[in-house]
Amino acid sequence: MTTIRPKLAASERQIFGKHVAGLRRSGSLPAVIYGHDVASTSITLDAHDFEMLHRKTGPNALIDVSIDGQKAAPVLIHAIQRDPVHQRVLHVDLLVVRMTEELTVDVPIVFTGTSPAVELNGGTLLHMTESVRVRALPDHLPQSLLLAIDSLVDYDTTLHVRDLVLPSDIVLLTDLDEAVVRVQAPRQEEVAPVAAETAAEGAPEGDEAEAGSADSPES
Amino acid sequence: MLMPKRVKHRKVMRGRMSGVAKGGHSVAFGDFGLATLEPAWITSRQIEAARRAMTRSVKRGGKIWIRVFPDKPATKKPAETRMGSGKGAPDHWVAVVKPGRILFEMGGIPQVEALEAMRLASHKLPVATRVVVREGAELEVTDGHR
Repeated sequence: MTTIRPKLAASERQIFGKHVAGLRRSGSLPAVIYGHDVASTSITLDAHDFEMLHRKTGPNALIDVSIDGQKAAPVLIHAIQRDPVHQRVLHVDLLVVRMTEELTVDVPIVFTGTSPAVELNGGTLLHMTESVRVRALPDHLPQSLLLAIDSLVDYDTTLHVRDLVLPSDIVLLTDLDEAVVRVQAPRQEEVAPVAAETAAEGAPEGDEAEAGSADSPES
Repeated sequence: MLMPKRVKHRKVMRGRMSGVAKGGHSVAFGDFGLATLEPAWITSRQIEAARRAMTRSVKRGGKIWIRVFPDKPATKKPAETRMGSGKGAPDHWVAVVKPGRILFEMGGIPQVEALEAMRLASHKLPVATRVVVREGAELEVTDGHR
């Protein structure tokens, strides 16, 4: 069965180092493409095209990348560097995959359904594990793994990695006993903390003075 | 207020705050984060004031994470003191933050409430801030678990 993969055009890049900033200003995105028995090549992508494609496809989607109009190769987005302030994509690593060779990837967990402990009791859903590591052939890489949270009826119930329903053609590498999600009891009404806070409010001054004096002997 | 239990050196040099955050710049625990857009020293009092503003805005439910810790001692000379005569006495504790750093996170509450709580918290801070959403959070909202 052949699936239609999204396509992305690239061109070989001769600009490196600080000059790459100019590329980004002109709407291009510096990237590198490499793989098993494939020499590492610096390339340029269209920043807008890549952003749109990345939004549409999942994190483990295979993309056909053709460099300067050559034969397209299936690649996986291996790493994305983002600007910490503006969250813009700065650089992309593309991994050329062999369709017969298994890959190890992180697959995000998506929660489905509604937890009664959240809806009725006002608890907070705590995501303890965002993704799990799986091994599969490139064609069978899942974009996400679904986990129904309907069974989270109280604050003691925890769903673990073993509760995930996995397709038969992937191997899970993450520890099965790792906790994925649970519900934390809601905070108490404001009245109690306010009383506690006001009581503590006087203390910081004392604490601070104490800490100030405590600072010196500790050093 | 947040402060270290014990420190190795009671006074430290001021240092520089050039560049952007190297770590702690993505939402890790909750659904929404308050990120700083400027470098600054955030004092333990400011952190506590912001936390209280958020806690009081969200009357019940939800969870707040504080992603910075004031582990740097800041010193101050007494008022009306001539310059010189060495470094001042330890006065308060600060967290050094660089642009992009997530200061607080919130989870388990609707977006409107989180945005309002973070708006109030940002008024207690000495920096310009921006609310960031966890990657994939929008996807989950459509699934209807919140």
